[in-house]
Order: sequence, then structure tokens, then C-alpha cells
Amino acid sequence: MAEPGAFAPQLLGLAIVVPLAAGAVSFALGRARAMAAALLGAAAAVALAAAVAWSVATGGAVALDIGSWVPPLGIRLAADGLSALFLVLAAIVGAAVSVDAALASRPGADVADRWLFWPLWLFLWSAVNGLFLTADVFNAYVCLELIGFSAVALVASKGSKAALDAALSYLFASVLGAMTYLVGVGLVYLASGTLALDALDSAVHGSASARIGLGLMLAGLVLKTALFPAHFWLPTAHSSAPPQVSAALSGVVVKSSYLLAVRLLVAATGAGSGPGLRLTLAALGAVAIVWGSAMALASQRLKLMIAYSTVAQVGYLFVMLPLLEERAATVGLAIALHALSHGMAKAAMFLAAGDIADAAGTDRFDALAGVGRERPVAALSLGLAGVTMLGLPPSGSFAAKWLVVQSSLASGQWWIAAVVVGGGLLAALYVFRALASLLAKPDRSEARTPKPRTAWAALPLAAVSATLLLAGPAISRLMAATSLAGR
Amino acid sequence: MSAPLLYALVGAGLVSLGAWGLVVRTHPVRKTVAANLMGSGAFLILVSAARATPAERPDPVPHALVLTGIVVTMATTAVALALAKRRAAASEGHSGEGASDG
Amino acid sequence: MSSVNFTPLLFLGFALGDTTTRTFAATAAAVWILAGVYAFASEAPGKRLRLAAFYLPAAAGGIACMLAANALSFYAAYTLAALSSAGLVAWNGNERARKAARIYLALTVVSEALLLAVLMIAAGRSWSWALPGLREEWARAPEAGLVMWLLTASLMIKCGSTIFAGILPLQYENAPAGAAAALAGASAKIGLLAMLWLLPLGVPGFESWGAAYVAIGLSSAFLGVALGLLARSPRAMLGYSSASQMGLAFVAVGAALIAPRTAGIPALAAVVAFTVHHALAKSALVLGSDASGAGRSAIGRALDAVLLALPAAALVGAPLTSGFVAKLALKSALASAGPSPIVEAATSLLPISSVATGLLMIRFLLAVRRSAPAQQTPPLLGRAAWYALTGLSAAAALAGPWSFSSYAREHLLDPHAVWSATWPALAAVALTAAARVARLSAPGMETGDLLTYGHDAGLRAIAWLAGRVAKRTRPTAETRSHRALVLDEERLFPTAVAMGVFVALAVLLAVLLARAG
Repeated sequence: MAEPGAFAPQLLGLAIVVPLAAGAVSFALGRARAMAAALLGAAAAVALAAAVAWSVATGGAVALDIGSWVPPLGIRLAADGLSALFLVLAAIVGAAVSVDAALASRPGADVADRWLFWPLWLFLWSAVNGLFLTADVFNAYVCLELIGFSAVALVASKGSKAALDAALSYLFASVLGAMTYLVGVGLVYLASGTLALDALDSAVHGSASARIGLGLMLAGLVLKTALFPAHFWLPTAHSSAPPQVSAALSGVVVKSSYLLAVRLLVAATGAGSGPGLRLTLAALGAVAIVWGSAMALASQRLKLMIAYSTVAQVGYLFVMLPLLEERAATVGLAIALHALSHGMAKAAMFLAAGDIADAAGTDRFDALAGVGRERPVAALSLGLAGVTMLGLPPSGSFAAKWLVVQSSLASGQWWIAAVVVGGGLLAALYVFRALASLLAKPDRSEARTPKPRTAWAALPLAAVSATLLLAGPAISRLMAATSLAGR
Repeated sequence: MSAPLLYALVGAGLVSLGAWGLVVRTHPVRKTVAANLMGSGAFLILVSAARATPAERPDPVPHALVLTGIVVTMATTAVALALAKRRAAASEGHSGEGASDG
Repeated sequence: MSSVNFTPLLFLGFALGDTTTRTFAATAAAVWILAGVYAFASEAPGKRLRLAAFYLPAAAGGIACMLAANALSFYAAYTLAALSSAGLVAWNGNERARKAARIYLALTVVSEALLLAVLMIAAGRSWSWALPGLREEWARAPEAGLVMWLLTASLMIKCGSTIFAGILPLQYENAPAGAAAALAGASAKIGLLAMLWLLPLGVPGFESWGAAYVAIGLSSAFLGVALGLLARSPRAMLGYSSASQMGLAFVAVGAALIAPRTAGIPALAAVVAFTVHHALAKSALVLGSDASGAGRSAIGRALDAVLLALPAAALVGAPLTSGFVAKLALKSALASAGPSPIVEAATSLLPISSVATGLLMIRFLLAVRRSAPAQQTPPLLGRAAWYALTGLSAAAALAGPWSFSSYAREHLLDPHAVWSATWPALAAVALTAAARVARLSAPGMETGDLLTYGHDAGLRAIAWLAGRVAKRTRPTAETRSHRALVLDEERLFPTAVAMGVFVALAVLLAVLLARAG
């Protein structure tokens, strides 16, 4: 338990409740005041995430049994270093998304029901925080479903046929994944009588049906995280949504199910058992990198390209998993660095793409010539985010790549290093292509009527992700309070 | 065959049926029904866990889980139906719409 | 090593290292600064900001590279310089320049990825990033063979060896004159520095690699000249000449690998001397090809011709020039590499390569004279920069390289050495005269040769493949309006199939876990 005040555990509960309450309040206040209430709630959520991170950094892992009810009937929340880092990621991306949405909804914005974005967005944020902090697998199911329908509603908010189609496809994929996960939870409980995340490894040890259940849970999470071949819902969903929503989805939501998957994997396959499982996931990750990059290169639209890039980057997160066994601390740090830098960079890319699409009227590559000059901030943000995508120093993804290559060489699994480095090259292809089309000279100067928007929120986000190496010491300090070593 | 085992097997059967429907059917309403079926199967499995141990009182935890699950599934169904209705309206009302792909 | 450590944070470290790195850094700085003055002076005021946006990062990276104290800062500076240079190559904005930039960028990214792999493997053993001692670290590891392959590939691309010869002329031809001079003088030298830091120069066991390097160097030397003789513009000729001269550096390094104990130091001296010589001479030539002969008085034009001829003579290795010193140092390196067939072949082929370079230089000078009337007069500041660079190149013969090669010092005025440097130049003149009389003329060739053809072929292949896949996916009107993809993933794999695959995956994961316990 944390030393600096017995208040620290309460922060965990607040991190979930405060955005939820703010969302409810902003819904109740209606069109006029929704944004103001929501922005206050967002600020509070950011402060809470920082506070949790601080208390984990200074006092070690924190845990809270809600209402002091004992698990498994009661729900337990826990924050170790990795959860705290993801909370911080959600906070940073959330802040940028909120600011960007606020900037985009100046008087003159044309979508009538825009104000409903705010309550939905805060519900999504609260559910994501819940998923990061939960230590109970059924509570995780609830959070997964909550994330699912908030995200689906947000994706559908544009109202166009394409958006509705994408939202429906996303919804059913999400439901399939969540149901699979629930069946898994049922099996695990049936076999072992516990729902606690940290008790899973002993629960799984003796019983085959519990392990089957765990496998189903992992599968459901794999679908929610969009690992190839379960990524089919992601490109249309993320590219048809409003830019702020895409930023949140690609930047944070995709990572939330990933965190849980990693914890489950560690619980299920510590100490040398289950190499087949890790290798399967890693192989799928490698294919994801290649497939996602190829499809990104083939895209004709900027947002679609960015969405496929997410598919590729998710592959990275899975390709490192076989190394967790031997070098848990290093690979854990690599996971944290990669997830953080990619999350921020991807969110920045979507926000910038939104700005660019506003300026050009569409996000098709052949219509973007010259927009780079009109919206230099957006182009610069895309470029900086590209630095992270390519894995150039001093971005966090460079550090993550380096750590992964070291570990893979040291443990003899060469192919992982090759895939990781090759992926950076592939990313270079589509990033350069996007930047080139932005900076091309327009064939004829069309009179564009730019809507009032700027990419000021995207720029700091991209800049932070591109220089995340500077925060390296702080991140490793937090990671010291995490154990991914399994039994 | 004991009751819990029967419940569990039926639950597994419903899960498979539901999964099949969710994957194969294209109409949103049919998919929603299939999802509900899958959910019911999962709940049956949980219910069978309540009597897994030959003890006096049934274990309350799975009941709590099932209740929560029912609420969640209801919410999901509502969202799915609302979306399906909106989508149907969109394709009837504006046949040339959908130009905003940015 | 005196370490004045800048920025100890961020794992980036720079230091004023030993004499070798200081020499590299000083040369690079001189070239970037003087060429930069020329570039800015001859650019229209409206475009200077854009030039600065590309030139300054390239210069910063180029100089910082030489001062790097650990692998991370070396790589970061290298990347910065290489990527910013792409903007310089694409300067004109026309289709030709953009194509050249595309080819350059693609090759550079590949070369950098290879270099990164090498650095990671090398630093991985001991988790230390420091550059001194890095090569000993990896040379004794079991992966040494793999590292050598990767490193060799990376260096070959960067320095324009054999098949990659086109990469250098593509850069020189399309960048504005000052930037091209900087690229000529400083960019490829980064590759040389990488060679010195990373190749296992003092470590025994790489003899066959050494022979390979000598072979690569010799073939680059001749191939570069051959392609240069077919080139159309003066700057392309200079580019091919650089490719051929880099080959000589490969020969020096190869000698060191063959005989690490005896040839190590002479080879190092040869590379350093060569760097200083080539950087200054080549950049002076590039500036000169742009600045000389334009609408000035007869005396002015004569002066320009002399100023142009001086560095050209240096490249051929005429006596009393920096090239002479460099070639002497190279000869001494080969001599101390012991008797072996490849070394002997190199020693005998070296003067032939000087003849070849001479042919190329004469052709270059004639081409400049032909195109001179069409040039614009560069402003005074630019002209001054050109003079300064030429002066430095001439002075280099007397100053720096002295201290590196004792052999060179001893033989500077040795009649035998002087003769062996003079006859190639005379032979080149004679051959050119003979070709003129016989009315031989070389057909022109597209700059970038293999690389350009490869680029075009690659594009055609991609278009064909995309066409084949697009035919299969048969986009409908709805697809076109909603998603407008050429490759539509949903057409390739319908949603039901994808979900079905997912279910199979779920079963697979469950089974894998069930059997794991």
C-alpha cells in the first residue's frame, strides 16, 4: 500500500468516477454548457492521472478494494507502474483531444449534435481508465463493453452512411470479442472460483478448462486490440470517425485491451510454458506489421493510411512478447515506451489529418497538394509524428526498438530484431509519401474556404512523442514498480 | 448428468450457435439476436458455476456477474438497434449521400 | 582523448576527439561553411529561407557526425544530414530532380537501416554506446560475419561503390551549385568516418574481407571513371569521379584488414590524407564548374581556368598537390600489407586508375569550357568562397597531410615518386589527344545509370501488380464513392470470412494454452 497518505488508493476510484460524473453532468446541462463541464472534467482527469503516477513512482504499486468489499464479490482496482504510465498516456492524449474538439467547435461549426460528443467522450475516457486500473477480470468485461459502445456511438456521430457502416461493423466486432472474453471468464471462474487478475496464474496452473477459458479471454482481447487477422474492423472505423475520435481510438483505446492481454499472458505462461502461444502472437504481429504497412502504402486517403499504420504498430506490441519470458524488465520498458510514443504520435497524426481535411475539403491524397503550405502546423505535426513512426532518435519508439533488438539478439531470437528494423523502413515509405503529397506544388491554385481550425493541439502531442527519450528516466522509474515476470 | 453440467453444455451450445449467427448473418438485427444468444450462453455457463461445488448455499458471485452481464447486453442491444435504424433511414432517405469521406 | 563533453544528457555525447576526428571535423566545417557562403550568395533572396531550411540541418548533421563520441549521436547526426540533403537534391522541383531525390532517399534510408542494425548489434554486447572500442567489441563476437555483411552493404551504398555509383552524380547534378559542392566535399566523407570507426581495422581474422574490399575498391575506381566518361554534364562527371575515388578509400581499408598489424596505421593515415585531399579538391571543382568563365575578361577567364585545373590536377595525383600526398600514403599502406596477389594487383593498377581519372578530368575541363559562356556570373561573395576553397585545397598539400604519413613526408620530393605521379597525367593527355584525332566520341548516358533504370523498372512492376490486384477486387460504384481504394481490403476478405478467421484463432489460442500446462 502507498505510504504518502492513505488517500492514494482513493485516487484510483476517483480516476474512474470523475470523468463519468463529468460526462453525466455535461449531458444533463445540455447544449449550452456541455463543453464547459466536460473541459473541467477533462482537466480533473488529467490531474488525477498525474497524481496516480506520482504516488506509484514514490510509493510503489497501489491497490483499492472498492467500498472495502472483499473480492471476488467486491471489485479491486490496482495500479502498478505500467498502469500508471498508460493512465498518463490517456491523460495526455485526452487533454489534446479535448482541446482540439473545443477548438473545432467554435461558432460556425456545422454539425448540429456536436455537443453530444462531450458526454460520450468522457464516458469513453472513464471506461478506458477503468480498464487500465481493474484487477478483476469480470470488471474488465464491463469496461470493455462500455468502451465498445461509447466508441461506436462516437464513430457514428458524423451520421454519414460510411460512418454508420463503419460503426455497425465496429460494434459487431466489439461484441464478438467481448462475448468471447465473457465466455472465457465464465470458464475460468467455473474451474477456479476466482476473478482476481493476480491469482490467475495459480488458478490456471492445474486446470485445463481454466486454461481454455484464458485462451478465449486472450482471443477476445486480441480482437479488441485489432491484431491481424482480427483487425478488419479498424481501418474503416478509425478513418470514418471525426478526427478527435480517431485520435482517441487509435491512440488510447487500442492500448487498453492490449494492457490486459499482456497481463493475462504473463499470468498464463510464466516460467517457460506456452512458447507456442507467444510465438503465434508474435508471428501474427510480424504479419500485421507487413500487411498494415502495405495497406497503408496502398491507401488513397490520409486517414485510411493512418488507420492502417495503427494496424502495423499494434503488430510491434505483439511481436516483442516472446522476449518477455527471459527479459521481463527490459521488454516491459520497451512496451511502455512504444505504447506511449506510438499512442501520442498516432493521436497527433489524426488531429493533424483532421485539420488538413478541413483545409482541403477531403483527405484524398490527390487533393492535398499545397495544403502543407496552408496549414504548416498540421504538416509539422505530421512530420514530427513521422519521426516517431520511423523510430528515429530521440523518440521513445527508437529507444523501444533498441531495447527490443538488444533483447532479441541476446536471447537468440533474431527474426524479431529483423522484423522490428524492417518495420521502420516500411513506415518510412508511407510517411514520406504522405508528407510528399502535402508538400507538393498544387497544379492550380483553387480558392479554398478553410474552416476555422488549427492543429495547435496536435503539435505539442507530436513534439512530446518525438522527444520521449528525454523522459526515459522517469518512465523507467515507474516501470521499476511493475512486475511482468510471471511466476 | 448433473444439473450444473447440463447447464454448462447447453451454454456452450448456445455460445456456438450465437457465434455462428454473429459471423454469418449480414442483417444487423439478426446479428444482434445472435449476439444476445451468445450472451445467454455465457450466462448459462456462469450460472452453472454457481452450483459447481456441492455446498449448501449457491455461490452468489456468478449471480452478480450474470445480472451485470444482462444489463450490459441490454445496453449493447439498444445501441445496435438504434444504429441499425439510423442506417436504414440513411439509405432510404439519401441515396446519393456518403460523399463526406473525410 | 581530450573530452570536452557537450550535452551529456539524452545519451548523446559529442567530444573533440583525437587528431583523426578533429581533422575530419575541420575539413567538413571548412567545406560546409565555404560552400554554404557560395550557395547563399548565388541564391535569389526570396529562396534563401528555403535553402537554409535544408542546408543548415544538413551542415549541422554533417559536422556533428564528425564530433560524435558515441554511436547514438553519430547515427542521429548522420540521419539528420542525409535526410536534409534530400531536400537539397530535389531543389529544382522539376520531375528530374524529384526522381533523383526519390532514388537518393530510398537508397539512403536503406543504408541507414543497415547501419543502425550494425550499431545495435555492436553496442549490444556490452550495452555501451561509446564509439572508441566499438569495433573491437563486435569483431570478436560470433555475429561478426553478419555485421560485416551489413556494414559493407551500408558503406557501399553511402560511398557509391560499384553498382551504386549513380547515387553520387544524382546528388551533384540536381542540387544547387553550393549545396552540391558541400555534398561532394562532406557527405560521402561521413561514410569514410563510419569506416574508420566501425570496420575491424586492427583486428586479425578478416583477411578475406580485406581482399574483398580491395576488389570492391578497384572495381569502383574503374567503373566510376567508365561511367563518368559516358556522362553528359560536368557535374555528373564529377559525381562519377567521386564514386571512383571512394573506391581508393576502400582499397586502403582493405589493405588494413588484410594485414592488421603492419598496415593498420599507414591505412589510417591514407584514409585521412585522402579525405582532406578529396573533400577540398572536389568541392572546389564543383564550385568552379559553376563559377568559372562566365562573361569575364580574357585574363579573368585564364585565371579561372588555372583555378579549375589545380584541383583537377590534385585529383589525378600530380606532384606538389594534396592528391600526390594522398596517393603516396595509399601506396605505403599497400606496401605494408604484405605480399599477396590482390595487393600486388592493386599496386600495379593504381597508376592506371590515375590515368583513368586524368581522362575524366580532362573531359570535365573541356565540358566546363564548352558550357562556360552560358553561365551566370556569381556574386563577389560566392567567387571569394570559391577562391578560398581552391586555396585551401592547394594549401592542404603543404599542411595537414604531412603529419599523418611519414612515408609521404619522406618521399614528397623523391624524383622516382614524382615521376610515377607525373606520367599518368601525361598519359591521360596523350590518350585524349589521340581520341580526338581518331574522332572517337562517347555516347551520352542518363545520369544515375543503373539506379535510374532500376527505379523506372521498379515503378512499372508496382503499377503492374496493383493493376492485377485491382482487377481482382473489381471496385463498385459504392466502393469508389465511399472508400475510393485501389486495394480494398473488404473486397479481398469479406467481413464474414474475417470474423470466421477470428473464431478459428480463438479456438487455436485456447488449444495452445490448454496444452501448455
